[in-house]
Amino acid sequence: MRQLLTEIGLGMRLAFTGGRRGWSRTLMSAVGVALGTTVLLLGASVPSMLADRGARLDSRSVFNPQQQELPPGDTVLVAEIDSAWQDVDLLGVLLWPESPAAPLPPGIPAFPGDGEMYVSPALAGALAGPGAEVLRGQLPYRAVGTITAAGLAGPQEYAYYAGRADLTERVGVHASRLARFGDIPEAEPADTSTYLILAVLITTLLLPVAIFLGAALRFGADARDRRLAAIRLAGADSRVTRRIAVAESLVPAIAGLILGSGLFLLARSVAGQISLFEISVFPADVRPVPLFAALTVLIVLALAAVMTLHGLRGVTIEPLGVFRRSLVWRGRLWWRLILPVLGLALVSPVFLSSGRVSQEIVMLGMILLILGVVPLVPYLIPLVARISPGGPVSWQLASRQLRQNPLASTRAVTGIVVGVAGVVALNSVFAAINVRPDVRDHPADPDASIIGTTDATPAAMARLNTTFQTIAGVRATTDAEYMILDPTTGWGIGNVYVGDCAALDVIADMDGCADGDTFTVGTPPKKLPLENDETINLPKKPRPAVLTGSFAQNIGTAVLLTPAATPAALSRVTPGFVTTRLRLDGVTATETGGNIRGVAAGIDPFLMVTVFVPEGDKFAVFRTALNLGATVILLLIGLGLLLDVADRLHDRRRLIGALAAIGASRTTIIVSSAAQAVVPVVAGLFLAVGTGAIVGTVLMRMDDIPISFSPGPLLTPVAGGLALIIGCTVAVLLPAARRLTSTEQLRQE
Amino acid sequence: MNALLTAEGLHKAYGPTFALAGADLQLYAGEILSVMGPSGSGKSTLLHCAAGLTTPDQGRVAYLGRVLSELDDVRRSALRRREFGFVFQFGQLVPELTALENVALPLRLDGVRRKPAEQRAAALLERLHLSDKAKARPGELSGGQQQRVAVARALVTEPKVIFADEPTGALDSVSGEQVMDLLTGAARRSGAAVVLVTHDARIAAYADRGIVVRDGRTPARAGIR
Amino acid sequence: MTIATAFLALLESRPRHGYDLKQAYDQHFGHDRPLHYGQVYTTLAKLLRNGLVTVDGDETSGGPDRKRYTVTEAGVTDVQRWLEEPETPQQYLQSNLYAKVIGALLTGRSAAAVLDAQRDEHLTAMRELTRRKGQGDLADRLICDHALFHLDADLRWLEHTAVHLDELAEQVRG
Repeated sequence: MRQLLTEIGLGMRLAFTGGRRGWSRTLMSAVGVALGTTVLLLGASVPSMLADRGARLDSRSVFNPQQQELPPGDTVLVAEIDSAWQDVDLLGVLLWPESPAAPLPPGIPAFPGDGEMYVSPALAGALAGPGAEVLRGQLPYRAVGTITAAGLAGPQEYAYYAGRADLTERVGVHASRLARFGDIPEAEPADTSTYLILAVLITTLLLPVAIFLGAALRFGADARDRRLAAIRLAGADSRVTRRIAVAESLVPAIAGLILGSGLFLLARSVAGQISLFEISVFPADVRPVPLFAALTVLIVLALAAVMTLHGLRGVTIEPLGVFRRSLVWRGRLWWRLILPVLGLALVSPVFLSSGRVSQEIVMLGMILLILGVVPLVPYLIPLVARISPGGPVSWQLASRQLRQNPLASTRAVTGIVVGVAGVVALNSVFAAINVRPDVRDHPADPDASIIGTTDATPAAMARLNTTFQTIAGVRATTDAEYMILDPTTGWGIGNVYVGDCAALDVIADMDGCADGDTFTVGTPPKKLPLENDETINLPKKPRPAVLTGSFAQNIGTAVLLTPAATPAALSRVTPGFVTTRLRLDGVTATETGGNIRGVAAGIDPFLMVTVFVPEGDKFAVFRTALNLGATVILLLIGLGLLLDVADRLHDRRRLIGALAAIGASRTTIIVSSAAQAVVPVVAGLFLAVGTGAIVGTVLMRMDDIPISFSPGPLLTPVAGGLALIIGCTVAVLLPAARRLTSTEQLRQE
Repeated sequence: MNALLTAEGLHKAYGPTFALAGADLQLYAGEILSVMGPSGSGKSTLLHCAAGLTTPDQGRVAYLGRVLSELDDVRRSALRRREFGFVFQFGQLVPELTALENVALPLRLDGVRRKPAEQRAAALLERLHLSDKAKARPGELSGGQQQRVAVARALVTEPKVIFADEPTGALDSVSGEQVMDLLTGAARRSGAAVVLVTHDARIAAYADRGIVVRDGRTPARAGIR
Repeated sequence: MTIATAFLALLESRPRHGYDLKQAYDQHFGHDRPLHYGQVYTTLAKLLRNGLVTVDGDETSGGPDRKRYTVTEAGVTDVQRWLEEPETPQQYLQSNLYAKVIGALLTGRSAAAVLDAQRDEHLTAMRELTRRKGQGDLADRLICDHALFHLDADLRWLEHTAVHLDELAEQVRG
């Protein structure tokens, strides 16, 4: 035991005595460990984040299956209004207490009075931000306070609790009576697959960190090995030297743990300001689960130890010096294909079957595809190097080195390839979303629809049109829809649509239309049985028409009636839907979405507004996060690459000096070294683009986005990666080449 | 007879430590000159300066009337490539290239196409009885064989001067002898002069003439008075 | 090693005539100093007298060149004893080189110059040996190597002493 402590002490002292290179090595490794620690601690906090959020969602739940039977008492009337503001969900809860002892929802100190509301901090921010006037259209209430954390899913949630006395008129229709909030849990518990995905995601994030850590620990390893040789000469056996080497890596590991915990606290403090996929978390939610936190410490220490031992592979430290066995490079292909093939197999249902596919399995397949490029890169490099066996001597030197020792040349590159493949995949998906930025079933369909009224009189419908057309660039048409029933079974066999010619034109193609016309689709019966036991006669001389857009998918018959052709009996039937359909002309939904919702809320807060085209750039935040993450990862890997190139030059300095002596020009040496760095990257990037494109296609298929690729998003990460390599290589090579080719390296040390 | 290579009054410091503090050297065509001295005496630095690998802080080195420090890097590299050959103690062969390709390297660096360069290299290896090692990589050769390949590489451009810095320093005495036999024999046959830096008198004994470096100086012989 | 022992060793390999003996001796042992015929005769006579060699029966008449000599049992024992006895390593404690250094120091002359001059002389000798080595067969090379290693040892001593000259001067003059 004392022996072991001595070894650890000795190893830790070595971490501080390696000169400038030793210090850089300790510092860089510490940074790598710190980033790994941060990632792991954040991952370890996910369960508590999900649990806290779930608990809050549960506590405010208004779900009550027995609402009909509940008599008035110490109860509250509630109605939920799901809306949106700039494509972010906006939750409205309308409240009216039926007794002073009525249950209060979590997060507010008292019931808001009629026409008053409590708003979430994020909504308060939006009400103070740009476009607030439009937003106010949806919120005809006076803000009297703020909802505290207990009543919110997350700090970035848009939510309000508003008091409305007229809820009493809506009981059973829109509003329900509640004796208690949070009666029935609403949030789904996180299942094992969530944790599986999380684990794989963390692994993916840790990979670049591990690669960087490897590069950092390798940096200046030759000096370390010589020190260890000296220790061996003093009587240490090879296992002791390995233990000392591992102990040396403990210093950056521990420093990294401390630094990483600091970074974690920093990330936690800004966590409240970030929202991903409309999920935001309170800093207090970000608590590592103790078991996972302990595991983090273990994983980080183990990672440092494993990377150190990995670096000692093929190195024999003898008392008289260090011998590097060049590990035999076996370019076997088959096992390198396991991951990509498995990945392809897992994602193949997306392409082959039309039915439902398991999201988890496809996700796993995509991650395997991205990880699968790692073992493929070293196989690809010698192939590329073999393409051109001739060429100038600088290429001969570079290609030989690549062929003989592809692993050394690809260590840092694999990280870049994985990063770029991921970014390419996601970027291409976002680009495809931008190309077809709507979620309409059919391009001929309207841009938005509003349902919720039942007044189907021509005057009421015309009023809806006029009201919505007060918004610039909006054309509104309104139609009423009744169901045609089969007289024997009572099942629906088609629809009657009532609307003016403009309204009918939105849903069907007709050869001319005037008020009083009747059109039929298919062959409806002469007598049309409707709900409420009413039957109307099909007007005379109907003309055939064809339904357009997604209406064409209705397989039943349809009868289209202009107001003048509408039989009086129809007024006794409640329409299934009265739908106002909006077309945007010269404006985008981003500009007018808020107005539409505001106008609708002005008519009736319970109108259901569906905007089929994006009201905001839903992925803007995510894209920023992705770009930020990709930049950090690429920078990290770039730094690793820098260390790697510097180390390779350092290892070969004597040889480079000898080459310079026999007349190799600086250009030859720089070109050769640069080719050694750039060729693996180019080869790897090809692979990355291929993998990224496949994963991107899978993602587009999964989201039913038409598959399309545009060169920009595909090539930007590639160009970034390439620029990074060339930048790093040049940054290291130019000064180093001057030093190395000065032939002073021949001097004995 | 005029000297092929003249170095006069060379000074060179690496940081605060002096490697050379007034060293001279004359090399005549075709001769083998040993440079001896204890380790750290500056003999390697003298060779590096004489070969234009290092520029001295003071003093001048002239090769056939051309002052090396007045040549730019391109010309100096070209001069080294065509007129000089080098054999070092170790670490000079490119591990990824075969022996043949290593020998052909100086020709290739001088712009000779691959085929003719490798043909000439093969012919030289044949003359030096190394043909059976042509396809081997340095890692597959013994230390002595590596040095013999290095000698072949130094000779392939038919240089006027071969600079050898402890060419047998990493070898046992028998392998060292073989390398020296090869180096001096081939140099004499081709008429190349050799500057042979060594601390080993038995290696220096292969030379026609010797100078001694001590504390960065090549002192003139003082009389016993 | 004496000439007599060398003869016995040569005869143990096979019986030889006197002339053969001289040739073989010169080849393996003589090097710079070939034997005189007189030495051959006297040595053989001595060996015959001591019963270490015999002359073959029919060829007892004539000069030593005509006679064929064979080693006796006693002679073989003699060779055996010689080979079994390791040579005493030479101590080199009485060194002329050291004496000259002290001499120079005592008389206030340059001991360094003495060492330099000696080094030149040694190196010249080594160069000569190296040249000879290059021309001779393996036997020559090994003989030359023996000399070269010794000269190399001397040279190393010269270098070693050169470093300590100042200290030595103080002690000598002190």
